[in-house]
Amino acid sequence: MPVVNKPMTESTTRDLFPGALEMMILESLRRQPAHGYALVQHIQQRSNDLLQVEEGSLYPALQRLLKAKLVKADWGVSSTNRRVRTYQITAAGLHHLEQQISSFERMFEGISLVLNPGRSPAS
Amino acid sequence: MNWMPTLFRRRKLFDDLSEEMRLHIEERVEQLKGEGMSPKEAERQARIAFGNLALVEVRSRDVWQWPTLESIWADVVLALRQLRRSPGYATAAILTLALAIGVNAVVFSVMNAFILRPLNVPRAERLYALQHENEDVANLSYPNYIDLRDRNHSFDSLVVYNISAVGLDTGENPTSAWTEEASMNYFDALGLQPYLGRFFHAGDGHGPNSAP
Repeated sequence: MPVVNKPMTESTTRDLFPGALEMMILESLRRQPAHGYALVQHIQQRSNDLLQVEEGSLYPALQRLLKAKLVKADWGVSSTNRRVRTYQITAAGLHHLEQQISSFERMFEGISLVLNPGRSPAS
Repeated sequence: MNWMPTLFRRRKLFDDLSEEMRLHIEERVEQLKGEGMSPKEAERQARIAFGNLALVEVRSRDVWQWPTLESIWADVVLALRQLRRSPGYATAAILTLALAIGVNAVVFSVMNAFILRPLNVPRAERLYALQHENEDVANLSYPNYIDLRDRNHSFDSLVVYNISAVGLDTGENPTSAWTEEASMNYFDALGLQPYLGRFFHAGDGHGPNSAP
């Protein structure tokens, strides 16, 4: 899923690491159930627009989560009176998210230590 | 086998997906129009932001599919459709394949019989067939064989055999059968033992017209 890192030029797109988008979707859904469009908006706003997820790339990720029963989806009506398919995180999804966040934090800590050898990652 | 319900469920999943993506783009268009963009430009921008709709749909559907089986089937369908579109090319391709497979099968049968699976006797590599230099097939009278056998110093033993067709009558329904007449030392020379009973040996011969 290509994202554009804003400070760079338009041509330097970089893929998120596998599972990153799923993790952000699950985290967004933990806060509140949402439909696809709202999820994209939420992820872009929360990332201060640093991550511009190509909107379509959300859907394969949502299908993977649905298949793994980490989220469930129901058709309903949004607050703006639109017909929307709303996603909700399941108990298995919450559990999976916890695991993913802790493994991501370890990975991030490792990368930080390599990139900044003199500094502690927490500082 | 629960693939039938799965297929129907998948149809529903795919319909939901298409509908959902259509509504997504529609919502974006509405928002952009609300910000003052012309309907045409809003539509364009919404599609750019969404990315390649067809690709996204394929990738989303892929999640639910059995990847290998279904892509193999899709390949087969595509191949058949293309073959039907150009029958001349199809005929040439099929004939080429048939010839190639046929030739390969023949070569393999020969290789298999002579190299991969040699005669099923002990030390088959020490077996040789003898024949006169100036004859196309090995042909030898029995007295000549006796002479060769008695003067043989080159081989452990010499055997002779003759394959012929005979009529076989067991009382009813006479049939034809293939027989192999062989010298008395035949099985000993080949080093073969029966699972049950005994084969005949060199000492069992009692001259012409006698049975072992």
